[in-house]
Formats: sequence, structure tokens, C-alpha cells
Amino acid sequence: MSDLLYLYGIIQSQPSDSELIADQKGIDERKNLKLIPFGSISAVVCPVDREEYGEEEVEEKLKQPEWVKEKAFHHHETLLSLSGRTTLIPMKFCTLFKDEQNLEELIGKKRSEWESLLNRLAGKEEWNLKIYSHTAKMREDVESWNETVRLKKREIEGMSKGKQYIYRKKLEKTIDDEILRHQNHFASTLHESLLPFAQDNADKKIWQKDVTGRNEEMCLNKAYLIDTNQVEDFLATVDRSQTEDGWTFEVTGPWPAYHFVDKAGVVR
Amino acid sequence: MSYREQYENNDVALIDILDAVLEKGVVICGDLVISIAGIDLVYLDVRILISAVETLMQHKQEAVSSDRMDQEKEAMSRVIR
Repeated sequence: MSDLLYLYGIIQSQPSDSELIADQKGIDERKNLKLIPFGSISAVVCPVDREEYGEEEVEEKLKQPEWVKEKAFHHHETLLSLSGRTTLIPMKFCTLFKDEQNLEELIGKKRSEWESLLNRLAGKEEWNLKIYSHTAKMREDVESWNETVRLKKREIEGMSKGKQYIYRKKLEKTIDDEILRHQNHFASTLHESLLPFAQDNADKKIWQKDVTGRNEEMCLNKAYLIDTNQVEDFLATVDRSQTEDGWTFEVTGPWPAYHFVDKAGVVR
Repeated sequence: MSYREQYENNDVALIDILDAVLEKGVVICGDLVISIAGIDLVYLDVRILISAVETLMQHKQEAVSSDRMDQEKEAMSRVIR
């Protein structure tokens, strides 16, 4: 039976292409990656066994966390190593074609769109910035220094027990709002200061504390698409903004341009 | 040292990788591809989500202590609904 094709991504065709993927193992760890040129663009694929990567088989495998972890990492690692050396449109994990003819048919439909996307991505890198706020410390500060909060506290002290309870609850809410306002302000100010260096940006999910495994609270998580010659300025700006207490920044990159290829795949 | 050198080898969290490759990237729909239903992060064993990984091949040396693993497992069981 013929193999299926696992598609990693699309790159611009160039003479030295074969060096890009020399001897790299594909997702099944047996067959090597290969490039299939379709004129100006090339597909980075690896053949996989139909018995192993058929529709039902993959549905089953996707329920196995260890498999997903290992293979998703392989997918990422392959894309990362390619994107470090050429412009790349990354595909979603587990994009599988029945045969080369289907892939060719798709490329035929998407060629002009993907060519312009590759042009748009050329010479740019995706970077990720996260900001964590030290909320416990901020709460202390708000309680001690915020004028409204201090006045309200004093007011509450003069109230009856029953009233105190209700107003304390209200005050808690005021403090929470104040913290949130402060976080949003800090995050959006920094974000805006970075916009001159970025061609585009995209929201990522704000992970909860338990997911990040950190004590601090995430208050910004964004991807930026940055011209390679502006990366240094972007990072310098981030670096300079880290002087204020109470915030931790986390910068990672360059990433494959995962967040800037939206809607590029739909075939109608 | 340039800022790039300072930042580009930062470890990334596995959850960021999974979020990117499972949720982002070009999605091709239609008859030409084997259709795979949406992959739900909730399927995944939560332990694997938060572990930090170094990029490019270094992950093979990655070791997470079983203590930390247990903590993460417990933390995640509270988070993922």
C-alpha cells in the first residue's frame, strides 16, 4: 500500500534546498524528510505508513498524551530548525495527505496565496513576550498606598459589625479592580511601546497560575512578528522596561511564525 | 553580548509548543487531507504541559524530578476542567 504524506510546512524553492533537510528523520523516526518542489514553492514532507497514520489510527494516537507530546515536539523542532534557515509557513500538527497528487492539487489552489504569505514572512521572526505580575506584593502596595482604599478602610472601622462585613467585601472588590487596572495599564503601555518594532502581533492565551507553575500571575502573552533587523531594538526595549519592581518578563524566540499564518489554509 | 544572544536560547514551556502546534499553524480543510478532529489540550496528561523544555535536541537530556512531577500533576488536576 502506498504511503501517506505528512506535511510540515511550505518554503520558497531555492537551489540549496536539499541541504535544509539532509538526513533528517521524519515523524515516524524511520523515513527521512523530503522536499517536493512545485515550481516556486516546495513542500516539506515525510512519507508515513498508511497503517500507522490513517485517519482512525491518528485519532486514536491523539488520545495518547505521551505520543502527542513526543510527536508535537518533533513537529515543532523540525519547523524550528527550518525556520532558522529559510522562510517557512508552518502547518498544524498532523496535516496528512493521502498522496502526492492530493498535495499537488492543494498547492495548485493555494500557490498564489502562499507565495504572498511567504513574501510577507520573509526576513521576519516571531517572538513571544509574557509578563507576570507579582500580585501579592501589588495587593500590599494598593492596601497601603492607594488613597481611596485607605479612606474606605478608615470609614469601615467606624461601622457596626454587620455593616463592616459587607463593606469589607466591597473593598476587596475595589482592590481587585485596582490591581487589574494596574496590570492592564502596565501591559498595554509596554505593548504599545513595542509596536513600532513589530510588523504584526497576535494574542496568545493567558495561562492560569497553576498551568504556568508560577506564583506570579500572567497578565500579557503575545506573539510579535518582527523584522530581523529590528529584533535587537525590540528586545532592548523589553529589557529596559524590566527595571520596575513587581513584574517578571519572559521572552522566547525566534519561533516559527505559528501565529501569523491564520486562515491561510482553508480550501474552498 | 547582544540582546538576541541573551534571549534566544531561553527555555520554552512545553505548553507553549503544544498550544502553537495544536492550535495554530495553517489548518487545511477539505477533501484533500485526512481529516483529524480538533485536538483538545484537555486530553493531554497535564504533567507534560508545564515542563520546561530546551529547544532543539537538548530536550533529550531533560529530566524532571518525580517530586516536581507530582506537584505539577496535583496543580493541574485543579486547573483543567
